[in-house]
Amino acid sequence: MESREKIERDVLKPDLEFDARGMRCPMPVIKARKYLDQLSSGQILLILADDPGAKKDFPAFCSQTGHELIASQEESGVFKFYIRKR
Amino acid sequence: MPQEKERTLQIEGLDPHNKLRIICFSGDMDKAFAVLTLAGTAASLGMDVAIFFTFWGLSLIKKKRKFKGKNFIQKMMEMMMPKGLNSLGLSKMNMAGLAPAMMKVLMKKTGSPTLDELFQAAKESGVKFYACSTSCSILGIDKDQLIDEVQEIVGAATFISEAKGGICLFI
Repeated sequence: MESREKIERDVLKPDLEFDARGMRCPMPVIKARKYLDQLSSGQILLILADDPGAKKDFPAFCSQTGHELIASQEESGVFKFYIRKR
Repeated sequence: MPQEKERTLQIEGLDPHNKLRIICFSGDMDKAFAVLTLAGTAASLGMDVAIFFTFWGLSLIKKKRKFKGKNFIQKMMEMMMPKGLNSLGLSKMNMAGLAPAMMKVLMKKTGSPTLDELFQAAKESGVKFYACSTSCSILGIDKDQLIDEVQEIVGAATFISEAKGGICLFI
């Protein structure tokens, strides 16, 4: 049986991954923007973060910037966000 | 130039009033964190951000100490004020400079960004830095004493007209 993680990656196919674990607010958001700058429209960025603020910060980041938050989940204190660049 | 910027923003589908203006009045380490965190974050969220440094806040953008060309009182002030972003004290429980050092240890331990990192992040995300003209003359500070990132020394009218329609914070 395939792991949920693998299925997720196969379906969503992130083009770039940003591991923000260990970083504290506001660095995950500030750096995420730099990662998104490297992508072209429609590509997907996967973000891993463990800052407690990230849970609400990334949805806010997406609604402010117009990038699409296509999936998010929390697993033992680590948040995962799949963001499609607008 | 401002009209051009406004037009570009409209083309990108962004609101020209989507901006944050911060008056940085304090020269305390803890308040500097608030200023730089909000500025860098807002700029990353696509907002047009500018910080207007005035009075004690000028300590954040000083490059070096400078005594030449200052009168006696200004020299005294220069001696007593922090020499730059990395020598700010806390607004409370400063304990003669011991607490800022302890804060730096705590930040490293918890993975929190330092003032330098926040400043770099703010700069790279396009935050603009301005210094207040009157505070600069009172304290005898000129453009050479300020870091190169400071675009201009401006007055209150410039700030007010620039800030119109945006979010304004006084820290």
